[in-house]
Amino acid sequence: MKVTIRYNTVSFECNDSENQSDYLEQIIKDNQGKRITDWFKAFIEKVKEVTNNEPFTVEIIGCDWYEVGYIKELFTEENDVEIKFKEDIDNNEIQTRYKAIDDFLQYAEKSKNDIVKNALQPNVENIKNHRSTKIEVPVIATMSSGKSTLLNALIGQDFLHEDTGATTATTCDIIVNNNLKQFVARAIDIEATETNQNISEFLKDWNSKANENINEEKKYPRLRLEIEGPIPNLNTSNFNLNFIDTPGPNSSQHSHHKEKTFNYLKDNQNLPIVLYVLDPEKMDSNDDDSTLNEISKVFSENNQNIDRVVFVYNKVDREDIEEKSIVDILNKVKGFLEKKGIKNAKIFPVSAQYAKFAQIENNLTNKKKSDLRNYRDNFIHNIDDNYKGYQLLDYAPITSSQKNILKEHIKKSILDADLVYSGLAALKMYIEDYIINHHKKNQYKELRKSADNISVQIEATIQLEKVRLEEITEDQKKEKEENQRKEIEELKVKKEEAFEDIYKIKVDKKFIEKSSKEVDNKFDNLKNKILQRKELSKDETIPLIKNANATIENLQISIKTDLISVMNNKLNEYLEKFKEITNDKFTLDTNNIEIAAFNAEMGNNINAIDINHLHKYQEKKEETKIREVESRWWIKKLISWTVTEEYKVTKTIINTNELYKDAIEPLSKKFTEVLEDYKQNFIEMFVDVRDSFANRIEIEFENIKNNVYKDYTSSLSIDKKNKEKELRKLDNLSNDISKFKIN
Amino acid sequence: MRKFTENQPLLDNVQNNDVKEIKRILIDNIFFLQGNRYEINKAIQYVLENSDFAFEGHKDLEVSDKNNKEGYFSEEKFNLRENYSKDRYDLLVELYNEAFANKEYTYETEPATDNNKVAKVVVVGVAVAIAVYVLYKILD
Repeated sequence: MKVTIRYNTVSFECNDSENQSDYLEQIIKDNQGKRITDWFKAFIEKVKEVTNNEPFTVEIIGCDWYEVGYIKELFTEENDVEIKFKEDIDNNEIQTRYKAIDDFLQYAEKSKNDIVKNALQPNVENIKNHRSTKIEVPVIATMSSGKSTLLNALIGQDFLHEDTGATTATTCDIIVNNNLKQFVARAIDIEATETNQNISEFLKDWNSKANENINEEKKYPRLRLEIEGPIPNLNTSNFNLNFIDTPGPNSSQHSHHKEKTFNYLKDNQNLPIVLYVLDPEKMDSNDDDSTLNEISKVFSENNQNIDRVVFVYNKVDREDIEEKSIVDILNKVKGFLEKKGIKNAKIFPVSAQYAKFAQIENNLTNKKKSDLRNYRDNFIHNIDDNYKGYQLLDYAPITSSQKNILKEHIKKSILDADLVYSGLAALKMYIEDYIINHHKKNQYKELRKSADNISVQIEATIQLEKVRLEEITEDQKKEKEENQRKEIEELKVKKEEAFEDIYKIKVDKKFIEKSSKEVDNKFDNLKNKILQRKELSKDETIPLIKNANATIENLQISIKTDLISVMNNKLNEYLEKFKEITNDKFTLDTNNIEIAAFNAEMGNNINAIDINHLHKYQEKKEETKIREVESRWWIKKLISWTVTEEYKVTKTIINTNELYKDAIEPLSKKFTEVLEDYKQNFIEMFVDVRDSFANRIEIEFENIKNNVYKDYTSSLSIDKKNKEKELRKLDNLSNDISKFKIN
Repeated sequence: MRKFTENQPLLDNVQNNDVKEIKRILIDNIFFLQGNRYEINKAIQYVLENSDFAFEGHKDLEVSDKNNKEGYFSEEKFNLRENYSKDRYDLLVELYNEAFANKEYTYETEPATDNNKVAKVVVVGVAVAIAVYVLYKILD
C-alpha cells in the first residue's frame, strides 16, 4: 500500500492526494493546519491498522529539512515502514515564501485601496501578534524544584536566589540582549530602579519587598523585576527572547500567578515555549495537579504545536545512575505525566547546578569548585573505569543530527562539554530550534493565513465589485432607456399638441377685401356711372376711361405697396402667433423662416383700356332736330314770323352696352380675379409660413430627440468608460495580488 | 331700361354654364340693370333655369360698417363670394338701390384727341420742310 501526502511546509496544509483509504484521507484532513511532525507518528499507527501491519510506503511531498530529519528519525528502526520524501523544500525556498508573505502584507498595509484596506482590517491584530519579535519563555515550576537554578544556568549567572525556603514573590523577566556587555537589573513599580552592581542582592531585596504587606495590602502591587543582558551560546535568531521567572501557580499569596501561568499555556497567539520544571521527589504530591491538568488540556484539545511545552527534569544529578538507569528515571516521569493525560511529553534531564557552576567556575568557592569536579566525575564517562556517565545527551528529546552537533561541541571547550554533559546544551538547542523551526514557522503560518485571508477577501471583493459594476450599469442603462423613452413620448405629445394648435388657426382673408374696398368702390362707381346712361358722348367717355384706368393703376399701386406690406405684416403676425401658442412646448428660432414674396406682378395683368380703341364702341347716330327759321313768306318775314323746321344731325356716340361688354366687364372680371388671386396667394403664403413653422417644430423635435439619444449614448459611453476604468482598477489590483506568491 | 337679355356676358356664361363667372356677372348685372328688381329677378330666374347655378343657404357674415351704404354694399359683395345666398343677393340689390341707383354723376367732357389731326399736322409739317428744302435748292 502506498499513501501520498502533499504537504505545505509553510501553511501546514495537506492537499488532497489519491489515497486508497478514505479513513486515512480523513485523518490527513483532520490534521490540516498542524505541522506534520505533530501528527505523523500517530498517523503511521493508523496506517498500520489499515494495512494490518503489512509493509507500506508513505510518500510525503513538500517537507522542509527539519521535518524530513524529524520524521526519518522517528522510523529509523522500523523496517516495515518505508517513508519517501519528494520535492523537499530547502531553506532558501522557505525564505522566499516568507518574503512573499512579508511583501504582500507590507503591500496591503501601504495600500490606499479601500478593498485592500477593508480586507486587511480584520487581520491587523493577528498580523501584529505574529510579527512580534518577542518570544517569552515562561519557566513554571513547583515550589523548590530548582527553577531559579535552571534560570541561572540558562543565563550563565548566579543572579536568582536559590534559597529553597523562599518563594518567588513577583515575576522576573530575563531579557536576552547580546548587545549589552553586562547585565542590568530593574525593579519597576510606579518608578523604575536600575542597577548593574550586585544584581543578586538587588533582586533578593526587591523580592522581599514584593512580599511586604501594609495593612494586609501589597506594598508594591505592581512590582515587576527585570534583568537584561547577554547570554552566551544562545542563538535567538534576531528574536527578543525573554525568560519569565513566574512565581508559580501554587503560590497562595499570589493567586493571579495561576491565571498568568495558564495564560501562557493557552496563548495561541504568541505560542510561548513553556519550560516546566519537574521535581520527581514531589511527583507524589498533588501540588502540580491543576497546572498539569491545564497542560494536558493544551496537549489534547489544542491544535497548536505541543512541542512548545517542555518538561525539565532538573535535579537529575540527585539520581544514582548506578542504581537506577536514566531510562527508568525518565519512564517514571513519563508515566507520571501520562497519568495526568500528557502523552509524548518532551522531557529534558538536566543538572542545572552543574551547568551553572561550569559557567561561573571562576567565581566559585572552593566548596563549589569541588562540587563542580564531582559533577564532572559523575556526568562525564570514564573509559578507564568503564563508567558511562549520565549520557544525558542520549536521552534529550532532540534529533540525531542535533545530537551530533552537540557531540562536536564537546570537543570545543571544557565549558561546552560541561553544558552538553549537564543536559543544558540540549535544552538550549531545543529552545533555539523552537525559535527557528517552530516559533518562526508558526508565526509565518499565521501570517500566511492572514495574507491568504486578505488575498481571498480581496479577490472575492473584486469579483463582487465586478458583478456590482455590471449590475449598476445594467440598471442605469435600463433606467436611462426608460427615461429616454418617456422623454421622447412627452416630446411627441408636445409636437402633436403644437401641430394641433397651429392648424387650429384659420387664415383671415378679409383684410385683403378691406384693403381693396376703396378701389373696389371706385370701380363700382365707375361701372355705375357708365351704365347709368345707355350712351355717352365721346367727350364724356374719355374722362370715364381715364378714370377707369386710374382706378386700375391705383389698384396696382395699392397691391405693390399697401397690400404687400399688410400681407407681410399679417404673415409675421401669424408667425408670432404660432410662436406664442407653441412657446410652452418648443422654443423656436423663426428668424430665418422665409415669408414668400407676394406676387405683386399679378396686378399688372389688368390692362388699361386703350382710349385710342374707343372707335370700336362708336356709333353714328342720326338725330332729328328742330330749329326756328324765318318764314319764306314776305309778310311773315316782315313781322319776323318764325317757323320751325326739322333737320337731321349725325353724331358719334359711345354705346355703353358695348363698352360694358368689351371693356368694363372684362375689367371687372379681371379685377375680381385679381382679388381672388390675392386671397389665394395669401392663403398659400399663410400655408407656407404655417408649414415652415410646422417644419421648424419637426426639425426642433428631431433635434431634441437626437439630443436625447445623444445624451443617452453619451451618458452610456460615460458609464461604459467609468465602468471600464473601474474594471481596469480591479484587474490591476487582481494582477498586483497575484504577483505575490503567498501560497 | 335695359333688359337682362342685353347683358351679353351673362348670356354667354349661362350658355357656357360657368357658375363661377355667373356668380360674378350676376353682381355686375345689378349695375347693368341699374337695380331694376324686375329685370334682375328675371335674370336670376333665367340663370337658375339655364345653368347649374344655385343659391347657397344663408350664413351671417361680418360687416364692419353698415352706415356707409356704398361700403356696406362693397362688404356684402365680398361676403357674397363666400356665401352666395338669395338673401344676401337681394340685400345687395336693395343696397344698390339705396347707394347707387339714384346717384348723380357729373360727366366731364374732354375733346377726343383726333388721330387724323395729328396726321395732318405731320403731313403739313413734312410738306413745308420739303418745300423749304426745294426752295433752298432753287435759290442755291
